[in-house]
Amino acid sequence: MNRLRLAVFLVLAILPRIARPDEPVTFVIIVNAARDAELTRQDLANIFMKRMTRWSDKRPINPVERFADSPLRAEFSRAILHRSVDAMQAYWQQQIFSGRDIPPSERRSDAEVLEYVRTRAGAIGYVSSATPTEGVYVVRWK
Amino acid sequence: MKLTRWILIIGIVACANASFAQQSSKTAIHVFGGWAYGKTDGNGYLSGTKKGDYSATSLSLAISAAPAGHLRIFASSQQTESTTQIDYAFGEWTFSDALRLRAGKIKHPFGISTEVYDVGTLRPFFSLPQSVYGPVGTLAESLNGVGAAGVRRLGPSWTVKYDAYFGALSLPYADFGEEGHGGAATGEQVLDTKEVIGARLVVETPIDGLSFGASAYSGKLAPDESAMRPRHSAAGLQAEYLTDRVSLRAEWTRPRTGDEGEHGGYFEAAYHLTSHWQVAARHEELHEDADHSLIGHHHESALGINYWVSPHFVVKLSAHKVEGLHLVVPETDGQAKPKTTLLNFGAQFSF
Repeated sequence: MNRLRLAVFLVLAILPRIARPDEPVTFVIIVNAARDAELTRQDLANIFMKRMTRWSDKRPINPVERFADSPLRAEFSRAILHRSVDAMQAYWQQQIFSGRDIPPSERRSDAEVLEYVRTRAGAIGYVSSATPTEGVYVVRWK
Repeated sequence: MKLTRWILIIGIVACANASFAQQSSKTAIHVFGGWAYGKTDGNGYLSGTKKGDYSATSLSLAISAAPAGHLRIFASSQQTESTTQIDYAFGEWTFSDALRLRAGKIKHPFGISTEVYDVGTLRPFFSLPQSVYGPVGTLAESLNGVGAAGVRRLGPSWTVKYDAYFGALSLPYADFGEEGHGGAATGEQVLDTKEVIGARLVVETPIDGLSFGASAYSGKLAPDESAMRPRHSAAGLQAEYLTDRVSLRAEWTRPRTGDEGEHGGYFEAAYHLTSHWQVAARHEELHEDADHSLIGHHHESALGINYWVSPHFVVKLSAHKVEGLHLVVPETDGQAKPKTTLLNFGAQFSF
């Protein structure tokens, strides 16, 4: 009986992670320079979790995030990283205190993210889909 | 002195939002620490004593810097009630995502939590499970030597992370008392092991948050430990599943020196009822191969409830039921009791 309860608990815990409904997103991914290759959600997750740190041309990737209290970051985190912002903060604590890496830079507004991406080689970030993206390139992803 | 430390800790926590993780593009400073009160019904265990102990306090400072494009420097020091020590200090050169080389006093890559041994905001209980992370001669917080680390993506959804290292380990283990102490542990000693070669492999699965891994190392005891210099080795298996609400962890380890060995393991589950409230449970066991008495084993079951003020500050309350004498310490001039109950209350932070 105890094993059955444990099994039910595990299935209920894991199921929502597998059967994640596709939800419309209200952000766009922007980069500093044009990139032809289409990125997958997993690629973007690897970039923003710093598991992938070089573009295909070997140049360093320079991701930028919105501050943790931003609703856009919450949406980005849920859609791309499949984790809440709190869970991502725990992930970065793990990386920091194990001497692995530090989190991406953070900016307070779409304008600051745009400025960051526009002025830094290899930069990638996200802004609200309503924000004009002059001077940067919008990335296609699936 | 205690008051000064309290003022310092409270000040740091109070300023956490304002100074959150002082970080520029090249340098970052982070802090973690905590305090705990522990009371037992007899033996001393973890932060607890029979009279109740308020003194378990620690504070650590971690710094990372990027003086050059491919070079990073990491360092961390910790202060407790009685000691100040360097947790790690090393340089890392990144060739690619698949290869990073490290040299210095590096974190010991073994199991799930060795590299974040003192960071309480990354686990549901105040202390890590002692059957694996306690003074059992399995794990050291750091290694003096060199290491390589990397990550590779295997297809669209699988990821493998790996570490390899060579150097010297100082492994804490329980020092057993003489007659009059009831045979229980009376303190900690260190097992110096050199020429250590080790590795860890962790596979992250397509199910977000689910990973499995294995770790192992082997080295020779330092000459002053034993003229025979037998090999000391350890192996471990790990499984972890983390979601926003659930954390499940299980580990098994087997340290071995010459012909003597033991094995320990635990299972831990925690669930966030809300973003603030979390409940947790853990069971762990440790058995020596050759000693089936109370001294040779440690069984512990624990229940806990935590209040997370934020992901960076948590207040924890837990009750622990321990059977065995392997990791408990008898009260001064007293006889160790075969069973110990610990009530633990504390707060931990990091930012």
